[in-house]
Amino acid sequence: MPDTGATSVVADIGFEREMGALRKEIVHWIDSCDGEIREALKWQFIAGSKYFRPLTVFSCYRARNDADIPPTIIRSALLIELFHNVSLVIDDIVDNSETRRSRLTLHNKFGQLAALMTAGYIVADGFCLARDDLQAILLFSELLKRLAAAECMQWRLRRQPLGVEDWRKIAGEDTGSMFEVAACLGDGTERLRKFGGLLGLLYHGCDDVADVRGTTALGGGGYDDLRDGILTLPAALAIRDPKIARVFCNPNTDDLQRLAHAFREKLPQAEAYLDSIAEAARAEAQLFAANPKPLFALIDHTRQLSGQ
Amino acid sequence: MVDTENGNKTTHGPSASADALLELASVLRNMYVAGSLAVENILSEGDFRGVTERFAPFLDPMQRARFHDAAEAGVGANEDMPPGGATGKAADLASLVAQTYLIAVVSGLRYWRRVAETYRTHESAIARSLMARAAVPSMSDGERRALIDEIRAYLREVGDISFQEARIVQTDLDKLAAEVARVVSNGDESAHRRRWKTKP
Repeated sequence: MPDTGATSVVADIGFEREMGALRKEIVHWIDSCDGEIREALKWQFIAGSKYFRPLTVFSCYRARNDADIPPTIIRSALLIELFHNVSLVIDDIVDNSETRRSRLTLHNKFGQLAALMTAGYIVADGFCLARDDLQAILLFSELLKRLAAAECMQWRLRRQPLGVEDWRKIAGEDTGSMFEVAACLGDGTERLRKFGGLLGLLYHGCDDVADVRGTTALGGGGYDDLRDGILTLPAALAIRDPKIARVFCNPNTDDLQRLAHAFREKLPQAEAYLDSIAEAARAEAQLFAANPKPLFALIDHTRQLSGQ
Repeated sequence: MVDTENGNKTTHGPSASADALLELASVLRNMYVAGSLAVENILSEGDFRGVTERFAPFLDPMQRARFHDAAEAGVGANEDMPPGGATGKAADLASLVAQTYLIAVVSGLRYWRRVAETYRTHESAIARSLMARAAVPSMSDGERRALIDEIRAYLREVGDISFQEARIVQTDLDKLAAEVARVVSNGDESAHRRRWKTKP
């Protein structure tokens, strides 16, 4: 699951006060947790997050309600951040990632057992915090099930000559499901669910593209995906060429550079495709939000994540 | 393609499927033009005032009679209402009911227009692939995958249109339902509030 963010997004969209309240909630929650787990939680939560998902919760609330963000929505934002971090911890273990947000990943810092137990602890306490909100319980239950299935699907479908529609399916169930839930928590009526899904798809695609750019410039980012044969958006476009598809399905170490080059060549096409997703998200916001402005701002900030 | 209708087994060549596809494209385009014109004519009226009269022929006679009876019986009238107030209210309700017809009609036309537009977006790629296949029956893996991806994108978009259109109608009807409630309660929000207390 990608985790890229824009530094100025909170200030630009205008939820500084709510973000301040959210940070306090996170600190308060960590202080209330078992001392055995607390250090790991601090390591995971107190650094570097851009809070894109909580921002989506706030923006979707504001898009349908002309009122201050109430404490129940701050609580929803806390919950989405908790469950998002569970997915990050598990992802980092599965991908064997050394660093996240420029510091050691949780399992590298505290060991795999501690990381797995911390993830389980967060899930359990997340549901405990949501105990008075049946809608939230159902949404988070849906989210965890979809994420689990999406991760299995993504791994099962690696190194296969699939298409852009398959990429949409994977990205929609992976990052898309998280943003769908964030939108539903904020709007409370499910009317912005599709918007959330499209925003997540856009986020995932922009991250894919930024990773390919990162591979070019820094030798980082997309290397894991390249090595594992993960179907990213530039990959799905590049493997329409049968020669590239053959290499993608069965690469040796020397082929990775060739694949990276083929993916880079598809960046303009990938950017155009991302524009079409952004346009669809904008249309959803226009149709189903009383005040679509905060949603437009979210789309614009997300779109910039590709580094275009 | 094998046609087993009436027990006949007829084999058509690949070019027949391409022809059928182009024929479908032509039909969809014609529907698009007809639908667009109809929508434009309706929407060019600007607003929904007077739709009761305009759509009177479409209103179910029973329903119109019911509104008439309700007005005659003074349903919805109250003491503060000037003479004829109940009739005015029934007319308002009739207008709102007529708007449901309008919403449904416009939605249907808009749906077909959007489906046709989506087809038009994908038509060239799909038809080109099918024609290439007709000319050279053996299709490369890459070409086959590209065609499948294009058809899947088209099908997904048609599904998305249906889903979005249904939600647009639902939103419009919700607004209308709120308006009906407002008309019936005479704009008095307290009519919906509980006037009793639960047991201590």
